[in-house]
Amino acid sequence: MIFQKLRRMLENTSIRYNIFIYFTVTSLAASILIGISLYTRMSGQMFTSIQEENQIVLQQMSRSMDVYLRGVIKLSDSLYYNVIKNADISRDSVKNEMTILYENNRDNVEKIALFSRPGKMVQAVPAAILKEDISVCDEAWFVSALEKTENIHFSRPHVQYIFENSENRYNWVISAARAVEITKGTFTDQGVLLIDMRFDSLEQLFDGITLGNGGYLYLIGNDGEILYHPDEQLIYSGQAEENNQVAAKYRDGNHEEKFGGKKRLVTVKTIGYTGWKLVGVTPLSGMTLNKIKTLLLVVFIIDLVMFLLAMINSFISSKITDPIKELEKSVNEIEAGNLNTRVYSGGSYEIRHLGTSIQSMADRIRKLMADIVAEHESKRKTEFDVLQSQINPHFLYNTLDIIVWMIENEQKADAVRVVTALARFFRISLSKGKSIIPVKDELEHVRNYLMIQQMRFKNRFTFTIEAEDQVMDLACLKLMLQPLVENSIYHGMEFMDGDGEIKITVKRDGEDLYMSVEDNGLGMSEEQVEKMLKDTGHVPSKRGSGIGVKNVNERLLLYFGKEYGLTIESEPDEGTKVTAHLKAVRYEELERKGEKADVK
Amino acid sequence: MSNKERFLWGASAAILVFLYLLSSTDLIIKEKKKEIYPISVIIEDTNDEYYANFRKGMDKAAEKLQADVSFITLYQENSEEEQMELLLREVKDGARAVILSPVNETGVVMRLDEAKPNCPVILLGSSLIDSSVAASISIDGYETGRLLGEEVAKREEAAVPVWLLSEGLSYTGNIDVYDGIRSVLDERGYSCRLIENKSEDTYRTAIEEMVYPGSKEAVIIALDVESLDIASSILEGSTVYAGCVKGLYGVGSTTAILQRLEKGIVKGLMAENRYNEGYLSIRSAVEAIQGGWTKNHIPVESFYVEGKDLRDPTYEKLLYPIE
Repeated sequence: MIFQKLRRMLENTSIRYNIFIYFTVTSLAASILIGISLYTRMSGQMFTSIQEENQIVLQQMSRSMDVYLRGVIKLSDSLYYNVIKNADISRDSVKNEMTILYENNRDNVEKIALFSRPGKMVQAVPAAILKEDISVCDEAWFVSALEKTENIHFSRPHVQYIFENSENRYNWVISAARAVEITKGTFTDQGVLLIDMRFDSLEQLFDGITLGNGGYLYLIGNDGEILYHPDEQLIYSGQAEENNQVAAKYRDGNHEEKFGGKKRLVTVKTIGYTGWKLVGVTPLSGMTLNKIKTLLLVVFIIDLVMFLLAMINSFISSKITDPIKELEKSVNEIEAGNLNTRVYSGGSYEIRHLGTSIQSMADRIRKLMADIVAEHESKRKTEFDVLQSQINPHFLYNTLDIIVWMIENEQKADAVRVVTALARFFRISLSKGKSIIPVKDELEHVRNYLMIQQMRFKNRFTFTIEAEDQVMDLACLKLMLQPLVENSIYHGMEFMDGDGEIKITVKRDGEDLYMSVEDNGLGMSEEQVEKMLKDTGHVPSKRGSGIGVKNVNERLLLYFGKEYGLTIESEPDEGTKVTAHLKAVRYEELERKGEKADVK
Repeated sequence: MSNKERFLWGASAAILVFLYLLSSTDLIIKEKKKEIYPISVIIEDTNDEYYANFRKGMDKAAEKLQADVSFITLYQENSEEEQMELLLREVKDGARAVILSPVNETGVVMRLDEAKPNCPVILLGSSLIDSSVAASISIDGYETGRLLGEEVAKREEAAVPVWLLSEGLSYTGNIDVYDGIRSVLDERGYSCRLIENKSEDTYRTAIEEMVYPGSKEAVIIALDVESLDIASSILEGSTVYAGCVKGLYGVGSTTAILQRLEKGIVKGLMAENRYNEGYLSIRSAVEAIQGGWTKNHIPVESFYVEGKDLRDPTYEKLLYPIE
């Protein structure tokens, strides 16, 4: 349904919009695909690079921790193998050497102490006093050291309680303890060497190490207990939480987990000697490119690309369709009948070719139409000339018969008048072959004709001609009134008995000229009037001049235009009035332009 | 180009400009800037001896929440007037929130209502909430006293008199602790004597009385951390005094008090998580600055500790916070 509607909509749009829409939709689809592909690729790459970065940071941190712990082990080894082992513990040199080693490591070491197997403090650097009620033998580090004598044991961070402290001080330490052999005089016994490492020296290793995007590092023991965490005190106080017990079960590498409703990337790295685990946490929400501004930037870039593509599309579609639109305008002109219009011929080869073809076609149509008009005009002229040249022989015979009759009856004067009228009649009929003559000549011509017919019909009718002087020099069609008068005589006056009247009136009204022939004859019905102006209408009488009313009307239309021609008003038994409507044009003016000039 | 086309091109260009402004400038969508919140903490004491762990929590919160904290002590201990003067001075100097440990909570609230400091005030050690107080943080004094009373009753005979030492019951929170202890001890038939610290030697004089012939041994309960510190310090300095005191109990802890607890000078005490208190006070202040006047009382848990408990990792972490 929607597709059909869309299809219909596209069918009704212009070729330019179709090209524009198809191009733009294709560009949009391509832009979106590229955008999504780039976004996915960038997000993926970012995720991978952050994973790699986390691994690198953890590797470095692991190395630092390793160096730190190895430093402690090395110190412990130095103390044992170089200072305590095989040396009489009661000698001052032992304490001095221990002090030297302590001084060299005092940044990391809080206390070094040596205990005998029963838990008595043998040596301590710097000097310290054991609390009275403390039993060192019960301390976890002491027990562990004697249980596995070959190892150095690292404790969890704790406050060192065994030594007397100043009132307001407590020390968080990590204790490294090992079993040692203590020699005193000739006796050798087992003891425990304790090195208390400052916890803050461990903290310093982590200081400033972050994983970006709000990520952090923490350290857990074998059992998952937190040894260091940037928010460890908040975790102990219940203000923060950590997934340390789960992290303790992870193998080294990257893991994704959901904790506290948030997805995060957890990177784990085990530290060699102790088995402690470094855990890096990076929130996953910070790693994707889903920040509102980034998304808007992507939308902006896609929109910008779309905008530029749309501009290019618009330019291309205009380039293609503008010549077509110009061509369409030309075709519309031709369609409206203006065959003289210059058909646009520009743009691409196809459009130019089409323009040239349409131009050729228009020229050809124009030529054909001119030929048709010329042919039609020529036909009319020929017809007119033929009709004109074939003045009914009956008219000539009857006229000559009257003249003979007048001469036989000694009516010489009348005979002379008729002959003179006949001569003038023919002279004007010829008019040097012109088809347009002045009104005065046409009136002269019709007057001669009427005189002859009056003689012939023995004064059965009278006639009057009324014309203002100003109309005399106007142009009219030759032999225009005669067919109308002829029509009045043969169809109106034939049965009249001396009371027939024919009235010819010529008058000007503005730019129009009206020439009317009015009789009081038998008149005509509406059908007869209609027939008169049609093809099948009035057949010229054999007794008349042979030029029909229809012919007059067609000539008027041809010369003056559609708004001109004949109008017939007739009432049976009342009479008929035929009016020719012409354009009022001065004959001289027409003659100057040439007789054939189109008065239209 | 038709008017419709012109309009469409214009609209597209306008959308582009709008998207540019949205995505690449701070004109419409403002990037969240890290704001520093100046916060002042005014305590009731002349030094921060009893605020060591509190300050650690406070510093952690300041680091996490971008707060610039000024910690202010008084010239004269427990001076309500000075506290108010300092509060108004700090507000004038640009503090956007004040955390106040009031000398007397009722008096301070009345003064705050009058002064209308125009910034959130968080009360420490008090459970009062008022129109001018954004939040309050404290232990439940009565419950703390009651629990301590229960522990004392478990360990000490009713025949032994109980002396209750206090810096002054009018000071914030002390009366609640006092009532809590009395509610248990009175019920169990203990005879109680209240000793308020009127001068430097009040406690010493009272303890000396025990040494006199004919005097009875007594159990001492210090109702506040200052009293506990002084009393434990006196007992630590003399084995004679310590021999006359059947047991010293109290409320509150410092590193020194904890050492005395470990030594057995103090038999038991009600400790609170001061680190947490410090952290929560700054967090509440920042939330109040950001518009979240919760007007809530935030309770801080208190727990009974004896010397033997100190090495328990849980207590160790709470009582000796890692910086």
